[in-house]
Amino acid sequence: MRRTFAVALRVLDQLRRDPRTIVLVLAAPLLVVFLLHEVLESGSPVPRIAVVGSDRLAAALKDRADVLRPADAQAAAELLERGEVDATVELDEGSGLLGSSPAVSVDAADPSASAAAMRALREGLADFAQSSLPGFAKAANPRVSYLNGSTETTSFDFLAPVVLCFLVFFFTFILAGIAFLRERASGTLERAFASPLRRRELVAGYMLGFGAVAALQTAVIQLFVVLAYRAPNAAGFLPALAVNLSVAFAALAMGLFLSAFASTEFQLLQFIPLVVVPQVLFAGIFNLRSGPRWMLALSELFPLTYAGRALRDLMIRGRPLFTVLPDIAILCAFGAAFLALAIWGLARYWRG
Amino acid sequence: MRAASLRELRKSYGPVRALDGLELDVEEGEVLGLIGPSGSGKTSAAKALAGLLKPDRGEARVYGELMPAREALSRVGYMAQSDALFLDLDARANLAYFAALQGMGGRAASARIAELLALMELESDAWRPVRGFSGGMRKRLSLAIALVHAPSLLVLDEPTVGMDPRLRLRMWERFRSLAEGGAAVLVTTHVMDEAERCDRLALIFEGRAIASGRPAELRDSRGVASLEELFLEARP
Repeated sequence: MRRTFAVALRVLDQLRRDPRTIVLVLAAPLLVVFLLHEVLESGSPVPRIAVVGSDRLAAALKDRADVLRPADAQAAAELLERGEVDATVELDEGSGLLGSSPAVSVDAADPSASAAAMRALREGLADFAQSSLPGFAKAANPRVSYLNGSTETTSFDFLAPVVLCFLVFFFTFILAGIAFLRERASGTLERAFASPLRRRELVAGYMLGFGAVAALQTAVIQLFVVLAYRAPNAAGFLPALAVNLSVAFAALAMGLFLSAFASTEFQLLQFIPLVVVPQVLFAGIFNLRSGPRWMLALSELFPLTYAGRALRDLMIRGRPLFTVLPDIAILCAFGAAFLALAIWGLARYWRG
Repeated sequence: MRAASLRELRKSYGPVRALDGLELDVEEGEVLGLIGPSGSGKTSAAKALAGLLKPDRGEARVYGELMPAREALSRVGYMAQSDALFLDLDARANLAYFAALQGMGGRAASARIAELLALMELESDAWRPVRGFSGGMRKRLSLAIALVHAPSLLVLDEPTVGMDPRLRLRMWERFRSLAEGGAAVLVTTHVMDEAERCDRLALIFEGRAIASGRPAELRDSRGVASLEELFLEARP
């Protein structure tokens, strides 16, 4: 026990005297959250639409887009060609309202711009139809009620839980992996092996020391996401913290384990495309519901899948903690398994 | 009494044969020098005694226990060629950490650390991070760590590299007094005037001890005038 504490205290002592790492551990995740928030909340672009013909359609679109009025279809096509508008619409009111259907052209090069233009057109045309023929177009404007959130639920809100657990995972993984590696490269690990220290005491000490740092880091990131950006946190602070701490535990164990198979920091970084990137793709940023079966099966292998799911249930859907206990248990099982593997992996260097 | 023995020790790293049936005994109260060309197996022999090398064949025993035995490890003080220090930590924290790994703590550990810092003339630098230490200072701190738990077998792999002559002299006086106190001291070295100071020398060549004896005996039996010559002509 004394040796375990000695390792833990030494790890903390090293961190304390390494301001750059402290800044990295605490400030870098906050910077990432800040940037992500700014990017996602910068809003969808206001579409630019050229309207030919109908004045009333142009009026209906005014609130939803920057409307240009070229003289004829030829001029509108040129605007679209030059990229000055995202879409053109031509509607001839003179031939009777139901006589002609609107002709729409969209520049599909930028999906987000064309999607915004299409949405504005759909809504504008629905308004236009309703004002022209009251009652006729009622079906086009359903009354909508929202479960789990509201119209105010933004992309950032939806992504915040996943980003939160990803940041916790990534920074804990890197921190523990590199510290362990550095210890091996410097020869201090070998020197420790020449003492009566047991492998499990060493790993336990690392878990304890970095666990404390990871807990602090986790709390800071979570506070930042929830307080500064008012991300939904329906279930409260502590249940989400419980999930994030189990993520940190799994990340720590994985970092310690994988660092045994890297001989330089560069080699450890090479594990990132293998271990970290797939997790991001599969952990819930993209909806995999209609993906092939192998993809769903693969996503079950990644700790972040469970973490992302649990955090969304807690933060967005406001479910109580006990409903995500299975996910927490799986995360802890990942951690325990990698911990055992880390102790086993050390045998490569232990009195070998 | 015998502090340690290596019997028929063999170890290969891939195609490289580091130890090829090495036989070696270390007695209490002696300073034993391992000499031999680079790559002859001196470091591997030292590692085997510190429990850091798993032999392919043969055995390493320290105080009768087959290495790596945890009980025996607490009686061994090992100093590798690399300094193996935590550069972010100060000298005292480095010592305190390795003392704790040896199970030492509290006032006893503090007293021992203060004593060693004084011995190594590092008192005034005790609170400075090791990153700012010169090569010689690092070497001294590294040696202090090897001594922190008052081991009875010292395994020192080129301990005086980078030290100035005055400190080197002091270190050898220290080794001598440890041996007189009953400790067994094993030192690998390339420096022939250091080899002259050993009670006994073992000449290692291609993973085997090809000769051993007091420095004078070795010179006579090999018919050479100096250890330098012995070293240069080393072959079975």
